Amino acid sequence: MDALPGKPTSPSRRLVAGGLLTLLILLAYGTYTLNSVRRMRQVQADIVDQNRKAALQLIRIESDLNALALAMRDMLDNFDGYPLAAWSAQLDRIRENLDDAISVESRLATGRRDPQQTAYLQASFRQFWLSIDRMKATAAEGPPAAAQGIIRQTLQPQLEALSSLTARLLVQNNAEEQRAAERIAAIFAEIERNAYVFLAISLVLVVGVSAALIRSNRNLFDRLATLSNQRRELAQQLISTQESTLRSVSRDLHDEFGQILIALGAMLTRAQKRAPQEFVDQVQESKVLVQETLERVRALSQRLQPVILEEEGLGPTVEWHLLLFQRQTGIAVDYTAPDTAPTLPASRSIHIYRILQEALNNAARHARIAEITVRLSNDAAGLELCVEDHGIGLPANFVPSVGLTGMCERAELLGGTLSIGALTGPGTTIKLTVPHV
Amino acid sequence: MRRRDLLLAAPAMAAPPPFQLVDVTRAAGIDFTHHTGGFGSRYLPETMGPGCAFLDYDNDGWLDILLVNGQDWPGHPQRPSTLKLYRNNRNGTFSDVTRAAGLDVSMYGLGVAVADYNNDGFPDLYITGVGQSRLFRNTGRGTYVDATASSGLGNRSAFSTSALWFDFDRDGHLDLFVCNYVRWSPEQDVFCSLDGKAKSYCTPEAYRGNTCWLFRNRGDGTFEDVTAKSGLFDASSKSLGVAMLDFDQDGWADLIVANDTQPNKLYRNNRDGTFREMAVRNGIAFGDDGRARAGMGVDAGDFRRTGREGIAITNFDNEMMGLYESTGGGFVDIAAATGIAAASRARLGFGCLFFDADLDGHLDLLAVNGHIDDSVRNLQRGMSYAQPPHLFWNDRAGKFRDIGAEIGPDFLKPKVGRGLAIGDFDRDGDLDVLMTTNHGPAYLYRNDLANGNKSIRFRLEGRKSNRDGIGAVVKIDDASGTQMRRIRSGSSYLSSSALPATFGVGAQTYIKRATIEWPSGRNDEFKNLPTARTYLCVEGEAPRPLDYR
Repeated sequence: MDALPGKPTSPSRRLVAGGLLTLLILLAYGTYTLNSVRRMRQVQADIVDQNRKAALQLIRIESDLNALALAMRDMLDNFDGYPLAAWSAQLDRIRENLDDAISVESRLATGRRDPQQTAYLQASFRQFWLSIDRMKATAAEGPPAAAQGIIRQTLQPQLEALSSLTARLLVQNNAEEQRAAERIAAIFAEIERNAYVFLAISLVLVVGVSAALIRSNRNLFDRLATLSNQRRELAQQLISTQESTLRSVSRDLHDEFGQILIALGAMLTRAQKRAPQEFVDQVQESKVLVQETLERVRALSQRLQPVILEEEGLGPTVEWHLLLFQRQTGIAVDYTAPDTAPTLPASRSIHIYRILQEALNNAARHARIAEITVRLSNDAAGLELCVEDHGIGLPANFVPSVGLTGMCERAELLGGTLSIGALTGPGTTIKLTVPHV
Repeated sequence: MRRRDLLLAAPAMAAPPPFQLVDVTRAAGIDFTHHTGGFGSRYLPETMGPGCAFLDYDNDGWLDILLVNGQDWPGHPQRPSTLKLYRNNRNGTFSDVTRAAGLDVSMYGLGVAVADYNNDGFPDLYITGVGQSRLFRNTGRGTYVDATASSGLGNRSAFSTSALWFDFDRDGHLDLFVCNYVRWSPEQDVFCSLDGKAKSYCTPEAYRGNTCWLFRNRGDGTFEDVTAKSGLFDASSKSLGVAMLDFDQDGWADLIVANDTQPNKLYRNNRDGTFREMAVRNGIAFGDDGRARAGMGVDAGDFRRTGREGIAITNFDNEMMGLYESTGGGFVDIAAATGIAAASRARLGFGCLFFDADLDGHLDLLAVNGHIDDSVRNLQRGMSYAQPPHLFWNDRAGKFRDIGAEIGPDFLKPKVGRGLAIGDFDRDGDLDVLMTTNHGPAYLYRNDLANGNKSIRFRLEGRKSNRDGIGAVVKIDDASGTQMRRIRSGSSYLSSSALPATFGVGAQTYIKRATIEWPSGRNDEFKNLPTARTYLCVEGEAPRPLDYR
């Protein structure tokens, strides 16, 4: 017998720990990724979007400056004879739009641009509008030439300077946007690198957990196999003990009680001869009683351990038992005997006999049948016993009984197999296959 | 759909349109062909015209037709050409009365604005064009005389396009607004090419813009240039279309000007003789992408029946039409949401007008299309020079469906469309369509409405207000709710539609109420008017029915 293994340990704790660790790593990575995305969005919102909006405002300023330049060119061209004052509304409209654009742009640039630069931009525009107002006043009061002189000598150079300033701010804006793009690229690279690290850690963890699972499963299966072997050995010992006990009881019944009853019968015969007439009948009754008891003891002895098995072998034993079964239960037996008589030793035949006995008993108890088929065959491959009935069959929730388990154990003792199955129609079949030793 | 809409006898939008636009040009005797004067020169004005007008020049109650024409370029004589006036013979045909009316005048005409500027009861004409635009005064005897010089509108040379008459200072005399496109003359022509070899028509970016003009009618037959004084002066504009509206609903006429490659302009009337430009802050200056589109034609109308006028503007191909809904605090372009944007993407639109084609009480939108370059097919895949027009049918649920292919085989024929005007020339109650094409014929489409829908029409005659009632708002209340129309000159592109206000009323035989808000400030109200009639509404007097059937 194998030594008993130590107290088994459950892998659940380690598996839960592994799962938790994986979850923690996933959470950590998810948090990290979300933070990176948030950081990127922040950079985008703080710099890129603001820059883009500021750039749009700078383009708007440039466009307005361009419109101013065109208007001034028209004013110098004496456009269709309209007085210079006619441009007033157009200039006011451009100024309104420019003021709005500068205000929005300054707001967007707050914190990102040197305040002195912003102040310079605003001061330059203030100066420009003062010059515009001076030109408009001159145009309203005096000859157009004086106002046109202001345009040429003051406004156009100022406009040029403003255009250059705006262009510089646009370039500056672009450079800042470029830097922001680089920062975003760096964040992307970091995320990518960490994604690889995360993947590697995940891979190691998965491999580790898988290895632990495999090892744990192997241990479980080994333990299961050991337990199964131990159980089988125990069952076989139980069966052997049972058979040995039955054999002993059977012999005792047959040899001792049988002899005593035979002797008692002989004594009663002698006593009957010498007994007074009035006791002869009573002695006769006692003799009949003794004879019946003897027959019952012999029958019981046969059932417990049929002597026929040892004396004549399996074939005649099966035939004898089937006749007995038929007589006791009233169920007709259709028996097919083997062409070649099996030559198994009694120590093996007894298990086949017990299996047959149990199968027939089960059929008689549960199958509600009037007939049963038994086939015993013996060929080069081995011996096969098949018990078929066309009764009610196995229930849907069939659970093997103790008797059935015993049958299986006996089949295993023989090194054979026992199968129980339903027929295509109603009924049950039990098939035992035993190889030749 | 609102329950009250179900009361109207108009069909569901899934059904085919209940009307057909049948080409009756030839049968009507209209044999006009536009002359561009082109001699391979590919001067920019050649691809811009012409305009057209429905007007009743002889006041006989039947709409006549005026078609503007170009002429030969100096030094390149080909054939004589004049604008054309066709008198309605009251039987579905027209007679050419150009010479008899004194309009056999040769000029490089582009557009026309029709109105009775001198309040004598007869419609006068302002013909825009390249060089000197001209004012023709109706003598009332079936003839016109050139009043350009005597009215003070002479000595002005420009590339003038659309024009409209309106009474911006509400003094009872119609003033004149003229769109000018770019500063161009044959001498200043720029060589442009699409393939680097052959000359093509330039886009307006090649030329400097020009200011629109506003001429105040002094009431004595002369005009004063108040362009600068009114604050409208803007030398950067490249204007092609103009429509009047009252977007701030203060009773004073405002203007929407469609500019080509320049921001559109929305001029709010300050009620003191000046205007304030408010297009940017009202969301109508630029396209959704922030770029100025190539605005061509424009119209305003209460297509949502909210009591506020929305705006439609046709644009260049791939720019899509703009359809602006008034939110009360500005305008929102809903062309995409209504289905108009996608349908108009591959078209270059010019004239556009809101009108109730099926008289169901909801304004539909008509737009004519045609490219400016006849070689576009070789240069732009899927684009053609001649293009079919659109008729966007108002489904009353916020969408417009282009039913051009469902209203007769004549309508969808591709054309190089430009001008577009609306009027009921056959006096059957529904509105007919007049189109012009560049270097091609004019088209007169008769509206054959088969669903029995009725209309009610108001012809206004001002007393204190200008005689045409231009600027007046007419509202009707019927079972379906309230509708409003503005009596307006201009709109569309280079063209003038009939002045009377036509309302579709479905199957209704009466309307509950009609109100007229005159430019003078007076309000007239009339109750329980039978439909299927035209009413002559003299300011301050009861309406006089004039059967149109």
